[in-house]
Amino acid sequence: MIAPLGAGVRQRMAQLHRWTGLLLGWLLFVIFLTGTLSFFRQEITLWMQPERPLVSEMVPSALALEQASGYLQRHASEASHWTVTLPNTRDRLVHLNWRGPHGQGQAYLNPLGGEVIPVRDTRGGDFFYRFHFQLHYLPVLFARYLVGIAAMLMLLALISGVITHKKIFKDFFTFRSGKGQRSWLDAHNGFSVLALPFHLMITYTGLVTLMMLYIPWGLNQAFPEPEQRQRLISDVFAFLPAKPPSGEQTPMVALPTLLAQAEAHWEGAKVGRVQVSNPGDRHARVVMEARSDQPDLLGIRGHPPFLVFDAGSGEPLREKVSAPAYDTYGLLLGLHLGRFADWPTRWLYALLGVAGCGMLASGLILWSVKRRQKPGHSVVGLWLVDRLNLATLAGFPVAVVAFFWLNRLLPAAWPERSQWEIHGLFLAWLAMLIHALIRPLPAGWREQLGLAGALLLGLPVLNMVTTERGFATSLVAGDWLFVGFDLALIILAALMFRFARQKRAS
Amino acid sequence: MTAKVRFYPAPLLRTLVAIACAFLLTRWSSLAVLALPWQPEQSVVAGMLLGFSVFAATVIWVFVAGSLRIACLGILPAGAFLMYFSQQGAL
Repeated sequence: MIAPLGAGVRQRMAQLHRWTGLLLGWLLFVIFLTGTLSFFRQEITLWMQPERPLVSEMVPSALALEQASGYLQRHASEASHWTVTLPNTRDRLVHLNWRGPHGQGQAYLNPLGGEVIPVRDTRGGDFFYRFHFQLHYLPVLFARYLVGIAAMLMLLALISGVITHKKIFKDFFTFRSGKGQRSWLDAHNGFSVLALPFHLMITYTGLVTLMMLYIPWGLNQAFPEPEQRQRLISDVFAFLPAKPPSGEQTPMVALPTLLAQAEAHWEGAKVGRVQVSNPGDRHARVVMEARSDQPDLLGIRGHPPFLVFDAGSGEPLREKVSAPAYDTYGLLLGLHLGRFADWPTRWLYALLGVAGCGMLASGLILWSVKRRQKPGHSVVGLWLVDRLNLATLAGFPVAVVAFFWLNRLLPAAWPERSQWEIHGLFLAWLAMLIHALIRPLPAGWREQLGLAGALLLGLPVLNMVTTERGFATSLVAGDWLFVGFDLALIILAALMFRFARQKRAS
Repeated sequence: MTAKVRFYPAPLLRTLVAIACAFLLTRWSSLAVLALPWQPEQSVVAGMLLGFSVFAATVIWVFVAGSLRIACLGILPAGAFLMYFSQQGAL
């Protein structure tokens, strides 16, 4: 007979669950929240650059690339590297980047007329995406290790949470409102069990995204030379190793011709991004990379297929290597990034991400609620956890909304504007931390949640006053992104007010 | 009948053992996969994918085991196996 899991095992697992969850729980909440926002990375960027016109027509890729190529030859012929992001279902403009000895630049082209669209300087949704795995103001490597440790603690907390749970399915259907500690436990169970497969998947695949950094020993052993490691990376990533130009000018094959060749090779899958290194030189190379959002043609992949061409002759030189381990890695990465997702799947990802935030928030609050009821608890420890809970769970959302407010309030010509939006987010978060330290706890929760609600509710009004893309105008124009953004803000504001009112009642 | 609640006096020691063993087993497992008759590129990626599971499983095992001694007794054969093959893989 198999013996049931003893109380001792459950107790040890509960202990592991409690401490792995608490240790970096606040950081995990922030990572989860910004990671959830990253599912709408492009949409957030579009909202934060309201100067971009609404383009409802999808311009053929070849035409858009021809315009991009012409613009780059006229304005960035000296550059050593061009990148063209072609129109796709989420963003209809052409995005150009270039870098070279004279610095770097970027531009947005309207694919209909080919004119440049001047936009405000902002990091947009890219800020949340970068922040959720490398934070900000910290050395990149250190931050990535810190995020990796937090993710591993999360994985351990999830596994130990499952083992410690006696009645996992019964508890899922149980919610006892207004019962203090019991209610917080029910909420924590609900958020955790509801999305458990997602939580496990997103945490494990999150670690996988940076696995070359976290588990480098096999790579260093098998490929001791940096050139060998670079070759391995270029098997999987659409990556052009920096090669010095020959200095000999050679005309390039027209980029739309190479685009047609790549799309024919992938049996109709569309090209999403084009990179050119050493344009116009004998050593010029072109990479055509497929779009990730074509799961029916390409499956779920973190790294879409790519083809490298000799730009002078148009000869294909190499393509993405397909092998079981690479494909498994690509699938895991693809599941984490969710770029394959259509709109319903993207919203499902976002809702499950919100459930993850709810799981972390309820777990952190549960820790302090339980501790408060224990006789002889550490007053300083509890005080610290309570304040950090307030400053993070209510304060960070306030800071995120402040980031959006600054996007509308800072003048377009403000020097280092995009950086000041980010500084503003952290200053707002710091203000929330100070507020959390000096205010009594119940009042602190009410005020910060109320402030988050007020800022969220005020944002559609601010958008209407400062841009020509207010709710009514967008509704009439069929601009569903701006309409949806405003509606989401109003729903979130209502939620925040409800939480604030609950805090007042309790 | 009520279950007897045991008190575990050395969670810090258990934590340190868990982290140290998990680190070593992860390292050895990522190297041991190189001993498999696969292409090195494949083994490297497979070793990385395996590594996180080995780390998590080791920590969980150290906390599941009734005592630190039992935990170490369980880890020892796995460690010996992985260390042997990690040296094979390194050749």
